[in-house]
Amino acid sequence: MMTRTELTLLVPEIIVVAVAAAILLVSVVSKRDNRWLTLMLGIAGALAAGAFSLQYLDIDPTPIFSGQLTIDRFTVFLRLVFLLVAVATLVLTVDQLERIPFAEFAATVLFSTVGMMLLAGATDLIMIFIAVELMAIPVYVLTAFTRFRRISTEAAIKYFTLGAFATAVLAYGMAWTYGLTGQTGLKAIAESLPAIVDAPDIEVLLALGLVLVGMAFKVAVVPFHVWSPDAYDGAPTPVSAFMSVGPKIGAMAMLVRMVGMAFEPVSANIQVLLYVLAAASIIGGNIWAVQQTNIKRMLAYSSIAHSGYMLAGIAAATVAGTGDRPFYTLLYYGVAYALMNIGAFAVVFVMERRTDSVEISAFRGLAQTSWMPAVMMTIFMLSLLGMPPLAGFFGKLFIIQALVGADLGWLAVVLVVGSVVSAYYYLRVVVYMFMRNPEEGADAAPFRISDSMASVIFAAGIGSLAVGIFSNWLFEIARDSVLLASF
Amino acid sequence: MSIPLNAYLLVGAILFSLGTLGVLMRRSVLIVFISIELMLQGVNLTFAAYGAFLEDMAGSMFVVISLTVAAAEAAVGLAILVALGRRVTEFYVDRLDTLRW
Repeated sequence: MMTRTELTLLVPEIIVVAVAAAILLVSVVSKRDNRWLTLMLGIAGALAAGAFSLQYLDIDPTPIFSGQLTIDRFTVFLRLVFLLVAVATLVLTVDQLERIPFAEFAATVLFSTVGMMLLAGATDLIMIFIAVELMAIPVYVLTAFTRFRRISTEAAIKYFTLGAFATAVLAYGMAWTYGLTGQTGLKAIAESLPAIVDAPDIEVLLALGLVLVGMAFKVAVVPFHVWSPDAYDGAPTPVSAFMSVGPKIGAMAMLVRMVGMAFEPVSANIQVLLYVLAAASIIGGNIWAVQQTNIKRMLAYSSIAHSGYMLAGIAAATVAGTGDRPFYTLLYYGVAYALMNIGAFAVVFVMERRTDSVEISAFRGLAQTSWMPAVMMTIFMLSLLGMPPLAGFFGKLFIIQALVGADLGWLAVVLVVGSVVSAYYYLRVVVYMFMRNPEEGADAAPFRISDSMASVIFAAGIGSLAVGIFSNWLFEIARDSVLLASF
Repeated sequence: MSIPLNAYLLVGAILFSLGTLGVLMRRSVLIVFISIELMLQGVNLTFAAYGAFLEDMAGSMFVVISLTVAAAEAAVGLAILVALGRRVTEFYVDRLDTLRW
């Protein structure tokens, strides 16, 4: 039975859907392109949804709609992160990309955000399937949004093909999980798994393997990453920022729910696969990133490496006796990663608007012509690299602590070595900006950045600093979110 | 005489495998899309068969939802293909090489 309480707990999602629909209606009714009105509607909706979520920051885990969704602190925490990501994307785009209809863009971003918010709370295979598709399908559309550019549509085709393929693999794994356990709820699956897993036969391995491979595609870890550099490169830059953060954290949340709830009794069987995927992503992502000359592709490979770091955290949670500690390091890491990656893509977008180039060489001598973006980009690069006291440092530190606590010292070593390699390509950007002269014939006049872009960059920069300096404060919230959640 | 569960599962597995092979081996983007649909039909058959075998509604529910989602997905995929069709005239996977790693 659907009750009033259940609907109340779902109000944030309902608000976001209503706002997205309202934006579309306004754009149809009024003839003009009301970009700023659209943005205000979007921000107001996100604020209202965020305020409603904040009310339930202390909620005890509440299953709603017969266990399809579970609203707990984990859900509320991630809802706020996703709303923030959506607002940053809208603000970044509002007075840029003049040739696209902004209202449709905003509505598509909001629909995808609803998918992520639902995915954060989904605790049933059916709901997970719907939410993951609601998250992914709008992002295929967003990738192709600048449809007058060939690389945009080409990237969308590649993203779509591999994304749909991954969905089919994931769904087939779900079919077998359902068939073997007779359950779709994650908790119920966990209860019936031990009975059948004693003799690990081919069917159980098939079910678990297919689900994990499908999810590995969605979070883009080596060797299931090939779509992501092309998708990030071809997509309009604000969309690259959005999809490198939102769907990635959303898919990580799904992985946490699956590994932490449904597959907990069999975690010993899947942990080797998780170790291998994490180590391969850290190594592969960093090595390929070194070879890139295009900064969007470099950031794509860097985000593959960061997926590896996060997956290492999940892998640590599968070791018996670690408790849920690795999961809350992951929430902290998600916030840190969102701030620094959106900031980095925002600066790349500024440079792309100015020089029409996304090559790393376009950053030559940036500090001489315009110091503000150069300083901000330095913060983001150092944070991604993991320099104290920035957010990225504490993210990596907490994950390393979790790995050591789980007796996975070798994986911690891989993580550290990977970070050392990553210093090469992150610092190269900084060296280009501060220690090289601008290219011959380049436009050396200082340039103005639009207020909306500057505000996103500043907010992300200050956020990266603050999340680092006040890391204990956020870490405690993240810890409560996981310890008092329903895992 | 009723058809045993394993027969359904086998057909489902064959559909899924054929779809996977199609995605991995065919050059035409349209055939790749059709192959993905084939994979999803394998999934649906498996879900429906298990649902009937377990006498549980969830399997059939998943099939209905999965069909809806697949329709939305196909619509988006074909729309992207139409947008690309204004730039290129041949839909072959190995011609889509503007972006490469």
